Amino acid sequence: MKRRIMIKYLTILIPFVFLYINSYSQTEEWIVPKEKKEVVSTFNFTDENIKSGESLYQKNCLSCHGNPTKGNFAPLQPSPGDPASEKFQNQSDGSMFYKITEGRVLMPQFKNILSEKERWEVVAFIRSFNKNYVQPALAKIDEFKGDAVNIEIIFDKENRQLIAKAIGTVKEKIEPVKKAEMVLFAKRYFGNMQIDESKRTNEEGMAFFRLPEELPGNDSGYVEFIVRLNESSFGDIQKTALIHAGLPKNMEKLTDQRAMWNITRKAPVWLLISYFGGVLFVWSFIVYILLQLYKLRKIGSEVTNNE
Amino acid sequence: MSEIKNEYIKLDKSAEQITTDLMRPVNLSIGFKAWMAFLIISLAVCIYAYTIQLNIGLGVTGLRDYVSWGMYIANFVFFVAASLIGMLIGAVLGLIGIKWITPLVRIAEIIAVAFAAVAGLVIISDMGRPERLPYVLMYGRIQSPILWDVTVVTTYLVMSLLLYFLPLIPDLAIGKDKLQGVPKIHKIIYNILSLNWVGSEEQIKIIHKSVRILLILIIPVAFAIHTVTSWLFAVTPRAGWDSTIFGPYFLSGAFVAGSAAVIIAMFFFQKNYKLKDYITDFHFDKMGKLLFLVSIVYFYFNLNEFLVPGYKLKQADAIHLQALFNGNWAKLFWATQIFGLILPLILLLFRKMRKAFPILIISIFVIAGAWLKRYIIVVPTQEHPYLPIQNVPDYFMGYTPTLIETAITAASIILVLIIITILSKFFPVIPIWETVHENKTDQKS
Amino acid sequence: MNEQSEGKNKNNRRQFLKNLGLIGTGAVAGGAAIYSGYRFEKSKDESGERIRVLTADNKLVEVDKSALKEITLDITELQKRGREGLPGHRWVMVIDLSRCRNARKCMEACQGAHQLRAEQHHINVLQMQDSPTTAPYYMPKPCQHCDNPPCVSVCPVDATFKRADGIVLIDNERCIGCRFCIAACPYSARVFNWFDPKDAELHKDQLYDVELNVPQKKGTISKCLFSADRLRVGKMPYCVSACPNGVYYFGDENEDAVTNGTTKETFRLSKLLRDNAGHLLMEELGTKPRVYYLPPKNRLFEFPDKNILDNEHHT
Repeated sequence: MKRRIMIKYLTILIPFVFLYINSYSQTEEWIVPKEKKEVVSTFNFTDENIKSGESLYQKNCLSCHGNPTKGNFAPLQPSPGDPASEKFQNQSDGSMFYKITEGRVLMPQFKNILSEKERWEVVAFIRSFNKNYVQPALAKIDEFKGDAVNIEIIFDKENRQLIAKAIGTVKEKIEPVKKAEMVLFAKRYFGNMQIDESKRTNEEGMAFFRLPEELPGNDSGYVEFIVRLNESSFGDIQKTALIHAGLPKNMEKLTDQRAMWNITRKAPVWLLISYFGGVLFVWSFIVYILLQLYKLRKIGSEVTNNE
Repeated sequence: MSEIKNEYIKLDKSAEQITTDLMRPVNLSIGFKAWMAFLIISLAVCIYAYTIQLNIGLGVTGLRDYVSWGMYIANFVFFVAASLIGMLIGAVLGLIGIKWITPLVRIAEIIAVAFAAVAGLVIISDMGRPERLPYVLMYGRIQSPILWDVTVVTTYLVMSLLLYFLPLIPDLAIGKDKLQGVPKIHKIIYNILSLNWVGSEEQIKIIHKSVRILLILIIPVAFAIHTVTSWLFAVTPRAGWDSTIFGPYFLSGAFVAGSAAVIIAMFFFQKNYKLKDYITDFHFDKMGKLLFLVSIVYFYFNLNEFLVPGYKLKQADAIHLQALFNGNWAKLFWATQIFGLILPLILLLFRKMRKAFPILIISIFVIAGAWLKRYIIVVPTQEHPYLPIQNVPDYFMGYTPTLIETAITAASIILVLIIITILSKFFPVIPIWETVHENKTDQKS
Repeated sequence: MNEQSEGKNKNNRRQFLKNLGLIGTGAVAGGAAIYSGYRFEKSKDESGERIRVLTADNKLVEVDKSALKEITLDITELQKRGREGLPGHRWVMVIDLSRCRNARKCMEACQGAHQLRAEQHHINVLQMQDSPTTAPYYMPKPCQHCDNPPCVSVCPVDATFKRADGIVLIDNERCIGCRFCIAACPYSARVFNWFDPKDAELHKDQLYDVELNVPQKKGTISKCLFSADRLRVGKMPYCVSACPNGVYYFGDENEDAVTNGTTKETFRLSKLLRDNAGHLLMEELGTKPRVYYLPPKNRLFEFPDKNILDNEHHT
């Protein structure tokens, strides 16, 4: 009964979900929250920033947006557009940064792929195509700006969670980094895989990440974790730790089993026996007959000689 | 002159007469020379076609990535099929004690040797890198049906050669004095190959024993050679090939092709070698009945092969059968089935149709049908892979053999004819010793 | 202090990767020497006599410069490592059918990397329609790198083989050109070099690398290799990296992770497949493919035709 009601609700709900997705993908305008529009960079765009922004752009953006000013962007829907175009350049730095960070439909979310600094560098590169661009005043750096920040990573085996604690040094006084965004990744072969959601540190500078049950590690079960603190005032800070929190990786070779597709040495035993057995059986008779022919010839020559 | 007795022809001739009769065709007549010259010139032209293929690549054929096996493979299957008749007539009929086969055994064996030997060459012509043939021995994977095929075809060829050669030994000893108008080398070969045959009891025993072993052993080997050839297709997960009855289906088809080949050869030997007394209408009649028997078995397997998937019409099978039954393959398919199988079956029921000339015509239809049937088994399946053929030139979707390909295939057939001609012209085509022997024992009894 | 050294290490790593690239290019240009196994980097210390070396198992060690020997790989070494594969990995690909718009960047990248002719496809974007009442969609189709590969089973000379890490490779130096594998493959994933390969003259002196299968050879088979050469250096396959639409994910089943080739985001493979109803292509044939497909629902594009079943070679 309960289940039926649920299904009923679901059937009502589903069209709305579709409608939502549909309208979302059809929107041409990309609305950026007002407060995000006003966000500005914490550093001045130098030539070096632009250069590293260019290489980031080529790796991550070129395939869709094409070469700026060339207009050779991919024919997608919604259109990616040329970053050097007026439409692009007319938006604020904050809007650009927001769009790169959050993504939409086909535009990927870069918040976990590029660091904050890197995202700003991409903005710097895009701005380099605008001669009239003047960088707005830098963001006021948080008073909390410290000399160094350390992230401590603790594995809470019992609750299967990872605790990351961020500590900053402010005016030679050690203090926890409060209410900062923290993201946890596990290192994988082609990139870092986010574990749990991004968290905010508490008053003690701690964030708690729930670890999934079966997370493969290396061959002895160690996982390389990366904790990143997304707090621009401290720059790009991340900490790596090798923790025994995973399953030992499956090191078994796919080619270990005996199979039809494997090499001869790994052929099914019955096949080896029947093939070689069959060949040996038949050919031993053939060899026997050849020997008989030799004998036949010898008999003949003896008879002739006797005569 | 002769009478039919105990299911075979009793000859009213002396041993001397029989020997002279059967050794008479062994000479280098002008007709033979002209025929060989014709064959060799044609072969040379066709081999030139092969050199083009070697230089440019397999792209000179009509084959492409989707239909990647064509005329060569169909021809290969046909050759393997035709070669099986040596086993059927020599071994199966011989071992159950049928007597009328005596004058036909060697013909069947010649056909077996010729087709089996050239089958290997046909496969080489289909290889992208023929110079790497030794790799099959060096790096062979025993899980591959190709390796099984190479193994059994070689074994079968060796055994067929032995089965051809062993009964020939006494004939060589008997015939070497009768050789007339042949080069000296011919006599020397006879001398060497007769292995000092004196006809002693011990020697006869050796021959009898060896032949018997070979006859028994060649049955499973022959079954293996064609079953394995059918597995080249049946082990793949493709509609039209993915069949469990491919082994017996191919095997029964092989006997049809082989019987027809023997009948055609019989006709030409009878006419050209003046063997009317030895290969008679009685033999044609018997062969006609054999052809009917194997054809009806083959018909039965055809019924199974097409009716069962045709009943269920699983998607991929349905597409394949549609192409065969009323698609672009329909004309060829029905022509092959009707003129190569069903009509011959009906005609062979009549005694008149089993006489020498009518049965020759029937056999030519049967053998042509047999060849085309292999073609129909090999090609259409590949035209309908599971996934659509896209983003390639249009001609990738079908297959039309090119002239070069046809010439190379013709080369293999010419080569078979050359081997048959040489074997039947250099050595007596009907066993002398056995014919004399059988005649004698019969006279005694 | 801690992050200081961390940062420096990162810098060094970037630097030596750059060096590695340079050396690699140099080696290829040189023609014979292909450099691998040990990647090294000149230490920034003034002395210049000591050198930092990253070993194959990712340990940074410092050795005397004179003790260093550059390893060049000849064809035997390339063959050996190509046949062994990368230990501890089981590569998988996930293809999201809802995102493919037929941009064909994957096909271009692949054909470029493997010196293929225009009609030769290691990966082919097909227009599919399952039944007349369902919508058509685009389906990129690489080799499925089956765990029960029919093509490998039938190969008579071990020219095509399955590696410990799951990739089905083809060895040009071994292939005899019998095309049994083409006949056996239900996915039509293999192509043959019917003629001299593209730009054969240009590439004829190139050292043959079984993981890239170039230079192509006349009379031999070619097929998708999951870009085994790129996996070795930590990069995703050519097609995966070239896709502008986020269609491809590539990764390691043993790590339970796949990374999107466009966004570089990494996901848990098991969750991705569970959440999106991943499936295998013609699983019923028992081939056990290593390529998963996510269904073509909620597609992000309009297919040009409503029905393609009539004008196609399907029937």
